[in-house]
Amino acid sequence: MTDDDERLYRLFAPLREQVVKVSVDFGRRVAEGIEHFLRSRETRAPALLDVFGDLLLESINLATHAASASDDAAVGGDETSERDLQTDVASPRVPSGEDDG
Amino acid sequence: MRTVEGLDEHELVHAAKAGGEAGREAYSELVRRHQAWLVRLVSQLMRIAPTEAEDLAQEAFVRTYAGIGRLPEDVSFRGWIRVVAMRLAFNARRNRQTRDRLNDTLPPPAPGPSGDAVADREAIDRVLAELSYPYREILLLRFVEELSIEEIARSLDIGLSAAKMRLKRAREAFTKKYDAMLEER
Repeated sequence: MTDDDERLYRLFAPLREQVVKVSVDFGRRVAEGIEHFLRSRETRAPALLDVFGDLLLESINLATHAASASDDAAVGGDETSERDLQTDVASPRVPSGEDDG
Repeated sequence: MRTVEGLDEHELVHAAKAGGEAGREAYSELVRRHQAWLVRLVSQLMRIAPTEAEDLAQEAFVRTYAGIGRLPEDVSFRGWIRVVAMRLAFNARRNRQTRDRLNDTLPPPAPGPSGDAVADREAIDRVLAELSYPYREILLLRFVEELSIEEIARSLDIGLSAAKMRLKRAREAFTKKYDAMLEER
């Protein structure tokens, strides 16, 4: 660590030591969010498959066999909120072996 | 039978991946263990009060749950949720800027800490507020989250040399403004 690093490390100590008190219902609100996510996944998937299943499979086949098709064209615009949810957590380019807790 | 409180991080993630009621319970324990530091990080990144940062932290936990099945064994839960929260914070900040421009209003004031031991924190916070978001972000990752430069590069999804350069510039910008502030006192 350079001198500059050490100085900033010292200066930032109050931020590291900042104690944050989280609301007592924090966990409950996360649980509600998860519940909502699970419910929307259960109700949406069958409906989508019923209505667009064949069309979806066909477009996947077309895309798979089209030599010039780009990857982006493979599935089409299924812009569901679940997909949005998973997009943000899809790339695990995160530090490994950190100290947890 | 062991309770979730007795499980380590790896066991909790494993249980959460399995799903079901036990998985939900395990995930609740992960939330309990990580909620405070995550709210603090979001609060410091966004420069909003911790109470305001809670919504975004909760969203990060929900999104992480949605993708936990794909969390690789060698990736820590803390690293994973940090990245999710950072992305949400970045987007939220962009949306807030757009809204503020549309409403022609000033951004909300920085959280006002109180008490004797927070004068330094106020000074640091004031200088951080004057820095660009990428600079503030990398300084917080380095000197608050205490990540190595390699971990920062992976978290920000940038190259190692780019991370080094950004950190160097951020450090210089911070030091310049902080020293100027000291001289004015």
